[in-house]
Amino acid sequence: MKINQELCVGCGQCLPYCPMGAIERGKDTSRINWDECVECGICIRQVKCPVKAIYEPKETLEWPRSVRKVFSDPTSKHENTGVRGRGTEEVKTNDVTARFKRGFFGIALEFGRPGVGTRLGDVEMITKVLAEEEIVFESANPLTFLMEDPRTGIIKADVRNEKVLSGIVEFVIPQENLERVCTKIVDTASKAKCIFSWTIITRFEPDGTLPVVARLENIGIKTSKNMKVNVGLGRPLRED
Amino acid sequence: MTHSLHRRGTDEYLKNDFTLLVTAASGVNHIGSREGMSKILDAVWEIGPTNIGSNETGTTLSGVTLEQIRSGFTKVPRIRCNFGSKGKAFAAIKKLQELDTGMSVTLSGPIEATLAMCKEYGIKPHSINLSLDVWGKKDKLPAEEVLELMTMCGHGLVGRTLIEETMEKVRQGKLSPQKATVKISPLCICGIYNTDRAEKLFEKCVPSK
Amino acid sequence: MTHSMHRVGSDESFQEDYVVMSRPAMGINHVGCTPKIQRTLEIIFAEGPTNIGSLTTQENMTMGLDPQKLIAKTEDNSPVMCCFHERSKVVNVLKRLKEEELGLSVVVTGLLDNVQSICQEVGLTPHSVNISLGFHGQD
Repeated sequence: MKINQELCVGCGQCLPYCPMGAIERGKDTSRINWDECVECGICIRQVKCPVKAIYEPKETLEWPRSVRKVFSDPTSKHENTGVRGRGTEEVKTNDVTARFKRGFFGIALEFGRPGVGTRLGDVEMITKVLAEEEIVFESANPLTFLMEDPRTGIIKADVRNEKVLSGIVEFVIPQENLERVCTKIVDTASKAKCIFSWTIITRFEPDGTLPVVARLENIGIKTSKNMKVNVGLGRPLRED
Repeated sequence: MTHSLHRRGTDEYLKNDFTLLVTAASGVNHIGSREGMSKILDAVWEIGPTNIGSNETGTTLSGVTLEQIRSGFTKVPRIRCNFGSKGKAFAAIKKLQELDTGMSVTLSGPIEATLAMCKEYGIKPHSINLSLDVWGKKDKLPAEEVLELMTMCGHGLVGRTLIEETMEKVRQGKLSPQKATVKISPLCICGIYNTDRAEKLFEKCVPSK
Repeated sequence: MTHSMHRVGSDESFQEDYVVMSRPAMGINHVGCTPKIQRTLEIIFAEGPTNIGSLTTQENMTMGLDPQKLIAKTEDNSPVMCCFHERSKVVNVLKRLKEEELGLSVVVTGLLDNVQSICQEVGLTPHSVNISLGFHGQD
């Protein structure tokens, strides 16, 4: 996004709205720090600019800048998934897709969240390590699409410096690898340059229990009690 | 009185950061303590602290003189100062030991070096206030109460600056919790922003609560 | 698509916080499902959500979203996203969705015990779950 310097009256109303704090007050006008802006669109959508000075320049939609908007603005759609958002439908439709089957866990690492943002290249710190573990990244995920080669976890050079509000790394692991992969992630996280929020997806056991919680606790990972539950209403129901 | 605790940083930065507090205990040994405190002030000044503070006058860094601090001593005098080197901080402790004024002394700094110094000087540490660090929050993250409001928009579109500014307005009575909620929740266009919970969270900022 | 995850707060504050989402699975049951999504929205509106939003109309209830406009603009891939602060309303919505056998996937984000008890009351067997493991990393 940009602010038309001819129109801006420097009222500063837009400043607090930017989640990245990228709007800066100049001498007489406000400006958007082009490098820090993630193109989330909050300023243009939500700020009632009295002179309508905020605009989306054509460069926003030019590669590689264009990835900022698709990762940061939930109203934009990823062309390769057809789904809005930063990841897949994950657990939302698992009763119908069987994306995560019994005996497997889905893992999603959302870089830049909450509210900090990330350079796409920063996720390599973890994706390279995961690739060494022969993790197969979710092919329908937009971040996988930006990898030079999903087998290495390396992000394409031209998008590496692009800053986004968040990007999700998604993959599935066999149940028996839980401790090994999670420990690897925790170890690597201590060296990571950015922040990430982390989730694990699992089927309920037939008796309704979630043994994964105790297994994670055993390796020092505490789960949040606030969980997202697929209640099993989707049809056709696809069993494993 | 834990304002010298919870300093954050790497060992590299903290190894030369010592805060010295010399305090008369009100009702116990404060009567007649000004003379001893005055001596301590001179001794500390001579060693060369990075700063000496005083709630009454301000700090030496802000241009206050030693004499102003001295004349500003209350009935229960206190000296608060910081040293930028371990050597100076320990020299101050040595000096305090020699002056033997009976005032309470606390030194905030890296524990290993401090305990070794005590042993060397023959001082038996009395008690300790240990920071257990900040839990569950990472360096780039705002305060927990801000996160509570931030994380209800999972797309991160309700930014910390706006929340912090809005919370401040509620604190100042310029916005009601309800108006504050109406101000920030439109940013999360998905509609999963729980306005009821947001209002309750803002209510915690209302001055009387 | 994990934006209802990672909410921060005490257990107490989550007692009145339920996110309900529903959507078809792209490529599996999304073709021709617009009427089902519209019906889901009608059920939710009839119950009275705390908030509901749309990426298509780019509005939510705090901005004066018009239910009829939202329903009219529904497409085969429109996700339904809303939240409730009353447990009973979530129960009622799920009951209706179950009775009408719409067949769209539904997720409820909330404290696990609460969501499981809701499912039990409605007569649903929870299928799978997405669990937050918190924030990690440093600057």
